[in-house]
Amino acid sequence: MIKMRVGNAVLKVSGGKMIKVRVGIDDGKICQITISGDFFLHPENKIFDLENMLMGKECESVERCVGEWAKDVVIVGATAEDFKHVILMAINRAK
Amino acid sequence: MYLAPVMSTKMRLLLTGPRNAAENMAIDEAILLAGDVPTLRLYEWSPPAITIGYFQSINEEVNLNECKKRGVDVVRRITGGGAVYHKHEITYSVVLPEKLVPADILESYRVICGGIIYALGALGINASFAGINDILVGGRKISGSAQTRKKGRVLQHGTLLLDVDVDEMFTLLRVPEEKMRDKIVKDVKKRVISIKQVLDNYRKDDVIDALINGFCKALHMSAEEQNMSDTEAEMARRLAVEKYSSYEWNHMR
Repeated sequence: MIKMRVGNAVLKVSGGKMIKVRVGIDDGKICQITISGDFFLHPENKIFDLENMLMGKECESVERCVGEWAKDVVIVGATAEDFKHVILMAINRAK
Repeated sequence: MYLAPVMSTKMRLLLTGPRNAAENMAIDEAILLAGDVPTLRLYEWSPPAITIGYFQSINEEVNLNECKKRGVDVVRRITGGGAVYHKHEITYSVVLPEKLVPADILESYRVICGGIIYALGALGINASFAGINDILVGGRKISGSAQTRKKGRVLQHGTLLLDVDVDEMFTLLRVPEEKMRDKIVKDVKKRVISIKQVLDNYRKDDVIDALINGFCKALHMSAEEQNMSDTEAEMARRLAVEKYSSYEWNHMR
C-alpha cells in the first residue's frame, strides 16, 4: 500500500526569485524532495546536498538541516529562511 | 579585495556567430573550464532556443510540445536564474578570473552588466540596472544575465534583445502567476522590450560594436579578436554531445 502523501509549494521571494518544492512524506518522514526555481545558488550542485540531507528526515529537522547546509553556500535572490519556509509549506500541504 | 584592472589588461574577443543551443552552452562551459585568459564572447542562436536555469524544472517552465512543433531547441544552463527565449538577440558571455571581479555576487553583476548599459547608452538608449540581474529600459526588461563561479573563474552570460515577439515567447514559456506578484507591470507581455522598439533604425553590427566597447569600458580592459584554443574547441564539442544534448542533463529537474 502506498502511504506517501505529496505536497507542493511555491514561494516568490519579494524582490527576489522563486523557489518551488515538491515533497513526499511517508510516516512523518521525507521520502522524496525536489527543489526547483529561478534562484541562484553557489556552488550550484549543493542543491543535491540539501535534497539528500533532507531525505529520510523527520519534518521537525527541516529548519536545522537547512540552517546547517546554508553555512557552506551563497544564495542569491532568496535566503535560507525562504528555503525553510517553502519546504515546511510543502510538508504542511502533504499532511 | 577587488581591484579594478588597468585598461592595458587584454581581453580575448570570441565572435562565434549563430549556433545551436547545445553548442552555445558547451562553448560557454569550455571557456569557463579551459580558458585561462579573460574572455568576452558574443553569439547568436540558430535555431532559436530556450535555455532554462540550472535549478528549473524543464516541464514546468517550457511548453515542450510547442517547442518541438516550431523547431525550437531547449537546453539547461550551468547557471541559475530563469528560462529565456533566445531568438533575435545578441548573447554575451564574459569569463574572468575571480580576482578581477568583486567577490560579492550582486556587486559583480552590477559591474559586468555595466558593459550592456554603456553599450545601450552609446546607441542612444537610457538603461538602468535593476534587481539582481536585469537591465531595464523605461521599466521594461531588455537584458537578463546569470552567473556561475568555478575553478577560480567567473562566467556571466546574458542577453540583449534586438527584437521580441512576446506572443511567441509566452507560448513557448510557461510563466507562473506567482512570478508576477511583486512586479509593477503585471502583464508579462508588457514586461519586455527590445532595441527595435526603441530605435527606428539600428544595425546589428553597431550593437555588436557597442557591446564590445561597452564591456571594455565596464571591465577596464581592451579586446582583441581571437579564436578558441584547440583544447576549448575539443571540450566544447564533447560537452555539446555528451552533456547538453543529453536527456539526463536537460531533464535533471
